Amino acid sequence: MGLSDADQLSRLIAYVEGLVQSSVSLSDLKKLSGGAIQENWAFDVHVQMGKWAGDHQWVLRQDAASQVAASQGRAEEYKLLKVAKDAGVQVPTPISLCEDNAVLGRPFFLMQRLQGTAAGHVLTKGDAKPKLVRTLAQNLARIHSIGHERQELSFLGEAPSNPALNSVAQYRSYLDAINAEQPAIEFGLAWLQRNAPEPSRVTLCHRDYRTGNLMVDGDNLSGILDWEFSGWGDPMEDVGWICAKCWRFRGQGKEVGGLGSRQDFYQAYEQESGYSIDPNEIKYWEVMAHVRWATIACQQAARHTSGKELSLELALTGYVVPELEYEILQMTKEG
Amino acid sequence: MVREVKNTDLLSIARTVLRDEVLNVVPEHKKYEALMVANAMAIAAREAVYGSLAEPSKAFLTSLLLVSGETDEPIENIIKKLRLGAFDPDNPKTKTLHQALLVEAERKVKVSNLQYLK
Repeated sequence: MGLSDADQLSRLIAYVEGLVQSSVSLSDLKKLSGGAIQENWAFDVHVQMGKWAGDHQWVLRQDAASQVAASQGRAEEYKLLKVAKDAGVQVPTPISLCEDNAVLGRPFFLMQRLQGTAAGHVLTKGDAKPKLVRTLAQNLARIHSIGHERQELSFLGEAPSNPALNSVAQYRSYLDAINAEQPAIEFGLAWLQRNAPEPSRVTLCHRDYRTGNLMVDGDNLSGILDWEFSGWGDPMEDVGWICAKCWRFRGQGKEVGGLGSRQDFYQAYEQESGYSIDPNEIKYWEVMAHVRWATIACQQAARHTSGKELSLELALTGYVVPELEYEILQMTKEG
Repeated sequence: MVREVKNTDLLSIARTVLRDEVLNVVPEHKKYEALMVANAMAIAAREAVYGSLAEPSKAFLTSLLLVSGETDEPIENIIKKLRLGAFDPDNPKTKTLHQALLVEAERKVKVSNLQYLK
């Protein structure tokens, strides 16, 4: 199914020809891995004439058959990409959004294909990458410059007055929805409720800003990917997320995403944003990061155990939960 | 009498064959799936040794009953109390609960990712 189906492929070609007002040829079509929530297809496009004439490398991003709670649809993610691009964030250039289900059965958008790799186990091998870490901090500060008054992001809803407490309530409801009885995660949630900080500001947060979602070419950032969890929140949540131990892959000694030091990241962020970072607050958000990832992993596993979507990848995601529980308990030890 | 092969031995030899003889001829685009299969087999073998992840250990359930002061539904009752804020740092039972959760988490990590504790 999908674009490997000849009918779907010819409808896509017709759509692209309408978009660029020229005949086109598509080549090197391949499905990209890592799509539990969405499907990504890479392909090359040769446009015969007109303002798009020439060769292009694109990615088609489409909703997967089922979604995770709180993930945005493709139309919303497309709008987020455009706003981020305007704010100076390095992202793949969004090209076109198609919400006509007659084309591929589900909404999709096209975007520029970036060079490099996003693979966590590759990027976190070897020495620290201070230049990349500083660029990541600057890009994150630019995301956090986007305020909740933005009309084009009204689909994100009202900004929560206390994002931390809002998240605690949300994750409890997610666990309830799948009948997951997870006392270690609940212990973490109770700790998060007791220690919730008052936010100094509420901004756009990427909410999945981590190694694995960053396209990197050598030591250079090509762009920030995967905007489907974005929403209004406490900007320190994103800092805690990228610093959390669970996203360091092979680079455990390098505390920012397995890529480099907190000092480089914090300094560059403070310089770009004009806001200072309180390391104690980041520790709070690192607990939140582990609790959130554990909750999402439970949701992914439930998609498999419910029998609705049998998948080895989803089943194995459930086996990430114990180490996350272990970290949550290590971090919430009191007295 | 021929000794019967234990399920852990069976999984272990099957995983060795997959890793040493099959993986290097698996096409590149299917390597990720093959590695996931090998990982799933390793988990299943450890589950046979350390107990199921789906079933909490008896010792853990007993600890929860003691901490909650209830006579049944240990996990459900602990979660209810945690959500009501019963286990703050001033409650002497909080440490006991934390320790029981940690021991159970360690048992489960031995199944899911043994390397993690090393």
